[in-house]
Amino acid sequence: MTPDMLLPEIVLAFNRWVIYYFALLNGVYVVLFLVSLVEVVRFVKGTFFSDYEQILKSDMTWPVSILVPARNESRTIVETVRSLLNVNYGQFEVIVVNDGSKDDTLQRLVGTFDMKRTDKIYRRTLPTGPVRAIYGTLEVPNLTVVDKERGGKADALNTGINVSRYPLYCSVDADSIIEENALLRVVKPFMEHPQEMVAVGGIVRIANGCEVREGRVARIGLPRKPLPIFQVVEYLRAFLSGRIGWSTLRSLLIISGAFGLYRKAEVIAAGGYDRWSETEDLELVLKLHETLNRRGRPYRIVFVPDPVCWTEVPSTFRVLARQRNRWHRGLLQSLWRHKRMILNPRFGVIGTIALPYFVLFETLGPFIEILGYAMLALSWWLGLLNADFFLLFLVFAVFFGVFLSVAAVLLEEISFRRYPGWQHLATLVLFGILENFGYRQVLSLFKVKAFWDFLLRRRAWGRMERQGFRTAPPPAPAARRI
Amino acid sequence: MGKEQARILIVDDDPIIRRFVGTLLAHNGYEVHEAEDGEAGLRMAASLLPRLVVLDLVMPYKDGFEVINGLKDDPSTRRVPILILSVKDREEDVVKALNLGADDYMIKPFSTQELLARIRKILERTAPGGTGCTTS
Amino acid sequence: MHDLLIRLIAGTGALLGGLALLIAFNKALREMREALDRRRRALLEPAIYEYANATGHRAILDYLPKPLSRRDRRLAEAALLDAARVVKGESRDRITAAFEALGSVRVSILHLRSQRWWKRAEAAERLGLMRSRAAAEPLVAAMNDPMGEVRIRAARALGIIRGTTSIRPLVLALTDPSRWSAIRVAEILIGTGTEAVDELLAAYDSLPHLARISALDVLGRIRSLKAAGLIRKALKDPHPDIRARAANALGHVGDPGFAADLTEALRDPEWPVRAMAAKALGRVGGQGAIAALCEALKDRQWWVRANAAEALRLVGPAGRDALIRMLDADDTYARHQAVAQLEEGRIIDEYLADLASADPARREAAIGFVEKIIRLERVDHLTQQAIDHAQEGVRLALLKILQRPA
Repeated sequence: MTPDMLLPEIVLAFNRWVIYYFALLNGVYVVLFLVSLVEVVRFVKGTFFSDYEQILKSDMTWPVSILVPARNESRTIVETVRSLLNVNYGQFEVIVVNDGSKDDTLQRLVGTFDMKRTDKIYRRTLPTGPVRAIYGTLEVPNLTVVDKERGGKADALNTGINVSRYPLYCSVDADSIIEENALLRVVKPFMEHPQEMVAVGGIVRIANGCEVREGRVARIGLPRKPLPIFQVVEYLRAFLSGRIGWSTLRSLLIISGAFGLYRKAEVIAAGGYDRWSETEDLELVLKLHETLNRRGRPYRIVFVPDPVCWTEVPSTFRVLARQRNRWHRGLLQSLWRHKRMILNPRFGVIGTIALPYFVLFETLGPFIEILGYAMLALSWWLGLLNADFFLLFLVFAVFFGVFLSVAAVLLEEISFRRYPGWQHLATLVLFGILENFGYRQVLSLFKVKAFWDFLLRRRAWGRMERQGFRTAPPPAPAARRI
Repeated sequence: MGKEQARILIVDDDPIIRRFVGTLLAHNGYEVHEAEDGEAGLRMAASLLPRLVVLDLVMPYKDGFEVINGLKDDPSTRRVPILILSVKDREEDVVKALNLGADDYMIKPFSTQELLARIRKILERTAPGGTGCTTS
Repeated sequence: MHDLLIRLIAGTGALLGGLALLIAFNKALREMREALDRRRRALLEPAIYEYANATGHRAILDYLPKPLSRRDRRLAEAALLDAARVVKGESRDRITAAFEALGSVRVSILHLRSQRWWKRAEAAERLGLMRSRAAAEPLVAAMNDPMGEVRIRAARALGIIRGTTSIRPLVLALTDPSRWSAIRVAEILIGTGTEAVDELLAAYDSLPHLARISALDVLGRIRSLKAAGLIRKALKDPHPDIRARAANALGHVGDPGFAADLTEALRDPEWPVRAMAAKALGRVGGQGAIAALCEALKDRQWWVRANAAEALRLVGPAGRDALIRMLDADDTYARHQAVAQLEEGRIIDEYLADLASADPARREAAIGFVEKIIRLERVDHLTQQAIDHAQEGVRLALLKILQRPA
């Protein structure tokens, strides 16, 4: 066989495989969507009366420690702490861990709440970097501020776990807005399955475009810039038809660092958060799955479809690129770390379906996509391109992508309806269509770049650029995963 | 009910309470105004100078305790009597509200007849002319 | 292949269009209905609330337009349910009468036999809010529902309607594997007070493990001395979970006579039991507990030490003296725990105030105390006080001691 005959063969074979791959991927999406649809309908039907008041009033409800790692959050920290202290819950404490901020995060807290250094002693269960001081206040007995040297978010969370008093802890990003009933919503699964529940996550919504007043979302709106609107649609898809589906299949792999409730003892048994990880929240959940499975203990890690928390997303390409780069590198790190779980039947659905899905589609997908475009050009150059077929396939692919986006909007419409206006709905549908022409491709490029960086072991830590909630350009978060 | 219409301001974030208590009071010959959060409550109290404020404690933005403080800080509203109507039933909350300057405290769910009786009592006690709680 | 693709495209396109239409149609319909309902309700509501607040004999139907449409009936029900949550007393009784007159009670009773469990649960919940005695019998029947959710809501509704409820089925419902169900059942049982104690005592031995734990919680919170014998026996149970809950329950009952039992529990081989016993000792108080708690400050387990220290702070002056003595203990953890609790209990601050006392003896004592804490290297609180204590004399005195070379 001569090389010029081999090339067309390869191109044609690749094209055929791409079609199989495409069919499989969309098959998975459709299955996830259908599972989510059933689950959302069940959830909505089953919650005709919320029992939140009873959970709130019962003194048998588990107390919760809210951990807030904060680094250079001076603009929002006081507002965040105030809104956390006002959360609807019986017994809870708020622990802010100041991770060696260079700004006046600590001073603001100390000044506002009249905090004093104390000799509070705590148990160093998890190894952490050095703690400089612990502050308490008589004004708000359930607020503690821990001042430590910079050690990263994972280290700050581990310190918070050490200092916390209660059996459940909730990790909260210092710049996200928690709904009033958020804790009651996520603690309910713990109340229902006390023996097995280990971690619970909830829906994270996008705060860009919402009117925020004193640490609350006063009026829900859509962002004005297109980039955040794309992310709204993307988040709807990821949460409503992604995580609900995975959670129902008992293989939820991601709980956002922005808001998650965990059983402390199990997290400690798994070794706490890892400093080496770019996405310590993802790594923790994977680690929990691995350790709990190895111990052979029945357990649950679930997702509640209730919205619980609002967060700012990047509004510029540069920051988005950095954020996604970090997320994706974190995913790759964790997959590599837990590679023994992949295709290991011992880990049930996670080993045989969820993890292979992440490897096949999340990590290899972008390559196949980019390669596909290259092959397209090559096919055309070699004269192999059947223009008719190509166009039809393209139309179908786009249609299907649009269908999945719009389907997520439907899930929102039948369940929570947080976006009330007609113009919201129209915008969401419009951007659900538009995201298939550019936005998704750009995300794939980000992922390819992240893969490359991962191979080079580059650790380009995104520096954060934060503004206050109320100032016009939204802040640029980097330390979060949706 | 042939008396003058005493002006009462209801500050509560729950529309059901506002409408229910509003209907009740209006039906008993009072002039009723409603505010749906603490800030609006303070603003309306300053402009309307009501004879009584019926105040909820758990509200967004400014809770009831802050509203009491706000009313007491403003010389024009300092003497306006306050009746707390709240779901908070813990002793410490009641004591705190009364210490801050509330005149009476009722816990939800409440009895309508009792509410009317207490309002009548407060209004009698603070009738204009005696202490001058409204500007003439 | 082309044909297949074209068909696929047409199919997806149709699906997509259908979906978009569905979303829009659904939203339009819902919004229209809501807007109409809102307007209609605003029209009906004043009359309904006037009815609830009135004192005469006119029934609800006289306040509503005649003939009563289905929508008006539904809206009136919703308005009354909202009002039912906020009032008590005579208005509340009138609201109940209105539900009976509107036929809402009858309809909800029918729904108790629906095919769908959430309809049955919702009906039980609504009947509880309506408070009609006519619903008592059907709700007792609903206590045998196959769905736990329905049983619990029925039980709660019964509790509201009759003031008390059938206790035996509730005790059995403690076996429900969901802690949330168990908690709600427990709350109802606690609400019935001493009535539940006899049933719980009789049933305890036949209950499974988790239900026993809930039963001990309930008995502790009812605080009946009648249950003390059983709880004490549970303190010797082979299972450590049970022993721990029993210790906790004794703490809730809170009779100083339990100090001896709890002191013994402080020597339990399992640390959760020891931790609970320490905590409970703080609740029951009594002089007998103090020596045991001081000993527990040296426990291997951190939580036992922490709970023991907190308990010492809570048992009163004797505990406080014991904490001060613990500053000289030979165990580092015990000393540090003592400092933390003395700070928390504001006892350190009392000594600090004495630094500026006119009485030289008190001043000396205070200085000695502060020096002892400095020797233990727990100076964060002292440093802070040296900066912002209210009295200048205290600040200066404290600063002088702190700056002294060790």
